[in-house]
Amino acid sequence: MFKIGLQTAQTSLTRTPAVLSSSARGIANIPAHEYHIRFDQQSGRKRPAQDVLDRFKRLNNGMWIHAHAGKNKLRYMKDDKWQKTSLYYETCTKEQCQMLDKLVTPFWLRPKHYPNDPYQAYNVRHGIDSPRVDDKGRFVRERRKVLLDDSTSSRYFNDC
Amino acid sequence: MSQALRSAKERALQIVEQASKIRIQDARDNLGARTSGRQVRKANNQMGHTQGALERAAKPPLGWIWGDFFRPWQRMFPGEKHFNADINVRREYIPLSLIELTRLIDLGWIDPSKPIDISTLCRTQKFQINPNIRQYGFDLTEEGADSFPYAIDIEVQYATQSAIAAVEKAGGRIRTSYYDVNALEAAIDPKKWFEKGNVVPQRKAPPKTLIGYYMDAKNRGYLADESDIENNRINLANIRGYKLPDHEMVTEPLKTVDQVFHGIPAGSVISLADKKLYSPTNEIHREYYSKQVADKQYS
Repeated sequence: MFKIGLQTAQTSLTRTPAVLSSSARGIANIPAHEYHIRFDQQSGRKRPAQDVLDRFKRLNNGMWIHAHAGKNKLRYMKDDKWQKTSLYYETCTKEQCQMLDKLVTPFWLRPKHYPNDPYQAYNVRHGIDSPRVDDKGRFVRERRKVLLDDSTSSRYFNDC
Repeated sequence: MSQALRSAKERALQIVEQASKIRIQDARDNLGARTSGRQVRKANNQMGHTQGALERAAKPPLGWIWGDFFRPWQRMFPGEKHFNADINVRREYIPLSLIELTRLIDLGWIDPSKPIDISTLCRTQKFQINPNIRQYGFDLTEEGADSFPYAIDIEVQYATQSAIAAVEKAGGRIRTSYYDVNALEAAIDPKKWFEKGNVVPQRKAPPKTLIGYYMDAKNRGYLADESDIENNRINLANIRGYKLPDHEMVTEPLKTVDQVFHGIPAGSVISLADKKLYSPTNEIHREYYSKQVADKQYS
């Protein structure tokens, strides 16, 4: 019994793991549903890309963040510096943000306010040269304040 | 002679020599000297590609920016539960800072001598609340807490400790209270609700996750004991180091646990045209709406 158990353990070690062997796919083309933005059959509304919603988060200032690639892989063999920095979130570039904005619906592009939000501090970004407003005069990165002029707003709020 | 002159240049020169007169037309190309590509019929013209080849070619998946088609960059990252997983249970609130509230009162949009609740705030047309996308009312935030001058009687859905302290320091009264979706819809636009002829709803009890918040006197929750709230009010003043004014701003008695509008009990129907309030006459209905213990409702 013991010998058999050992043998099976050995064979399972020598065999290539399923994760590695599945990295090269045998099919010729990308499935058609993957290169179209999908729309709901019943309501005709755009469907957000679930891949993006699972992996990314949009901050209220329009920037997207994602986790470190390979964060959960073989952690035990990587060094201390990596153990620490792999837990950080990374920001996307402008082009990537624009691409992700197209893949999701307007619901996800709307700034949202949650009390006790752990991402509250990251919803604002300072020291940016790009314009504060879009072509329609709406704020791109900050919340529109009610009945407040710009100078008063900047005295009380720290979000532009 | 013509045998000797073989090159085109020489022949051309000979023609020029023999000509009595040279005109600009003589410098034209000979017929067929320059030819463009052969024109094929449109249907046969594939230009090296066929439509079918284009359709069957591998096209990048959505969002592909660089790299392997089968492993586009947006799929290279691990999923994070913290990001969007609980979006369908998260409650969103409209931020209302104290400085904005001050401005609304300064400019006459809100009357501080009357109780301020969702209906008052929404009547200013400065805020949009959509209960259908899980927006649950107002969050009173602390911007402008240092100089909040008005003694007000306000009811919001969420408030930070600094905001509570600022309101109470100015002599105001603050309560946090929960509105379920139906009650919120009525409170946002009472006119629309009354004109539809809907019954003024009961406010349902908060969900299990929020009961703790609204029963906590520290948050001035509407389910907490008034004596507890009074103790906490004094306590907060001691902690923050300010002196409470002699009397609290009380415009009207507090709403009951299931009441949506001040002065209108649950279960009544309002006629705006007649300016009348119709209470239920049926004994069963009257009993149901006077229970004061709202039905349990999840989320």
